[in-house]
Amino acid sequence: MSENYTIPIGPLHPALHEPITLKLEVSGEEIVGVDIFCSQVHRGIEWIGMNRNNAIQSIYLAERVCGICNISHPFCMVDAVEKVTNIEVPERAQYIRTIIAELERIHSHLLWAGVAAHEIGFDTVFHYTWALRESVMDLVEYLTGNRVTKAIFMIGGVRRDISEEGAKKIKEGMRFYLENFHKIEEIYLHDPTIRMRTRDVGILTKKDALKLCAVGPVARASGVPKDVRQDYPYAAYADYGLKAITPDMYNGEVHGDVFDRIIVRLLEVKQSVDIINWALDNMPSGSILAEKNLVKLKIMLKKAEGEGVGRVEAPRGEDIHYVRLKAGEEPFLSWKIRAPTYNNVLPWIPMLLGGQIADVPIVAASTDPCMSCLNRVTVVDTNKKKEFEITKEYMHEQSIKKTRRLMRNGQ
Amino acid sequence: MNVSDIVGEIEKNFKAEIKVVEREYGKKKVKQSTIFVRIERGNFRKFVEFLFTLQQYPHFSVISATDLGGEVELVYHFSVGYGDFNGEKMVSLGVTLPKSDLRIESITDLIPGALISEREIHEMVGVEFIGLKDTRHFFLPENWPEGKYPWRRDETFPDEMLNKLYETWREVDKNE
Repeated sequence: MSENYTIPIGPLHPALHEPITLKLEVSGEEIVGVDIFCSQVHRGIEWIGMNRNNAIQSIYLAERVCGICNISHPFCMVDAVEKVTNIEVPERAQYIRTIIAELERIHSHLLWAGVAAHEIGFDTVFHYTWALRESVMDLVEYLTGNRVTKAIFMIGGVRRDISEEGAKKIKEGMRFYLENFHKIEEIYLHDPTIRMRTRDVGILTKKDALKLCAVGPVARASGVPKDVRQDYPYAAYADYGLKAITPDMYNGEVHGDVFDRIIVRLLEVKQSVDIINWALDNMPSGSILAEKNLVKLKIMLKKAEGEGVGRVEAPRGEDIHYVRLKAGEEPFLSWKIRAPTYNNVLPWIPMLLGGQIADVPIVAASTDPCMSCLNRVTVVDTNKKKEFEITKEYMHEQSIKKTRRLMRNGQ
Repeated sequence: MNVSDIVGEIEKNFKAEIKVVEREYGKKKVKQSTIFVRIERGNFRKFVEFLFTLQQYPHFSVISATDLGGEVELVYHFSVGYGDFNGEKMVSLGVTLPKSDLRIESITDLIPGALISEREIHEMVGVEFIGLKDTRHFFLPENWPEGKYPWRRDETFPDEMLNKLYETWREVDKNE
C-alpha cells in the first residue's frame, strides 16, 4: 500500500499524564514522518518571575515548574541567584541539597520504571516498582514535611537540617534499596519479554544525540557521557567526583535503544544510594543558611545587579536557569528556565522514524518526558477525507498485544 | 582545556568583551567556571563556528532573552569539554540587537538541537532568525495575534490579554 496516513497523537499523550501533540505520518504500520507541538501547558512561569514575584517568592514558583523535578528547578534558580549576589553557601547546606536531590532521583527513576512497565502491559511490575518507591517518598516526607513540593530551598542554603536520627532513618532506607535492588535488576534486565519489547527499539545514535544536544539518561544511553554532576560539579558533587553512567559499564555494549535507557536509569538508582550514604558519612557541621534574616536577604537581593547561570543534573538531564537582576527592582529582569525535556523532544524524531505505532508509547516514555498522556488519537485518512478516533485504551491494548505476540513467538 | 586557553583563543580571534565567573563548591573548593562573552552581531556566526574548533559537537543549552529598553540582548548558553570530572566550561555568548532591526543568523544548520529554542525566541520576543525554515509557533497557540510578544517590556506586550486568556480560548474554539 503506497498511501500514507497522518496520525495526530495528543495533546494528551500515550506515555505520561501531561500534554504534547505528535503528528505521525504512517505507511501501514511503519512511521515515516514525525512532527511535534507543545504549548498546551505553558503557564508563563518565567513571566510571573519577571513581573510579579520577588526572588524569594520565585523559589516556590520554580518548585511548581514540575511536580517530579521539584528539587532541580529551585536548586538551579537559587544557584544562579547566589552567583549574582556572591552569597557563600555553607558546606553543610551543600551536602543537604545533594542528599535531597539524590532522593528525588531515586523516586523519579523508580516512577519512570513503573510507567515503562505499564506501557508494555506489565501492570504487576508497575505496582511492584511503585510500592518500592513509597519508601523514598516516606523519607522525603520525613525530612521536609511534604511528599511533593518540598519547600526546602532558600537563597544561601536550606531551610531544614538533617538530625542524627534523620540520618539514621535515611541510612535504613538506603539499605532497603540495596537489598531490593537485585529484584528490580532481575525483573527489568533479565526478563526476556522486556528485552524483546525494548532491545533495538527507539534507537538514538551517538551522533544524533550529540547533534540534537540530548541530555541526561537519554544521551548517556547513546554512549555520550554527559552528566552535569560530573562535567560541571556543583554542591557536594564537587567532593564526590562522580562518573557518568553509560550502558557499556553494565554489559560492554551501547545500542542507544530503550533497553539501554532502562540500564542507565537503574544503575543510577544504585549510584544515588552510594552518593547519599557517602554524603551522610562525610557531612560537615555548621550552619545551614548564610543569611537567616529574610528582610536583610531581601534588601541584599534588591541591591544586587548582574547575571548568573545555574546548572543542575535533574533526573531527566541537564536543567539550566539564567537569571539577571537589576538594582532597585525586586522581580528578575530576565529569567529563562530550560528543563531537560526541552532538549530531549527533538531526539524523538530519529527514535520514532521507522518504528511501529505499537512502539510509540514505550519509545516516548523511554525519554521520561516531563510534560505529558494520551486520551485519544484521531486517525485521519487524508486521501479519503475520513476521520476516526482511536482511544488511549485501544492504543494501550495494541501495545499489550504486541508484547503477548512476542512472548508466544519469541520463545 | 582550561579557561585561560579558551579566553586566549577568543581574544586572539575576536573583538569581544570577556568576563570569567568562577565559583567554588564543596569542602575541596572545586572551581566551576563560566565565560561570559559579548560580541557584535557581525561576528556571531563566526564565533559559533569557532566553538566547533574546541569540541566536535559543542553542547547547546538554550537562548535567553532580555529586553533592555531600546534593544534586546540574546544570550546563547554553550558548553564545551564534557566527559571528564570538572572538565566542562560554559561559554555564554551575548549579542545585542536593536529593536529596529531584530535579526540574527540561525544556527540550526550547525546545531540542529537549537531549533526549539530559536522558535521560542521568535514567538516570545519577535527576533527573526535568518535561515530558520520552521517558524511556526511552538509554545504559543497557533491563533496567537501577530505582533504581540509576551517577553518584551514595551508596547508589543499583550496587556489586554492578561488574566483573559480563558476568554480568548472561548472565542476561537466555538465548536469544542
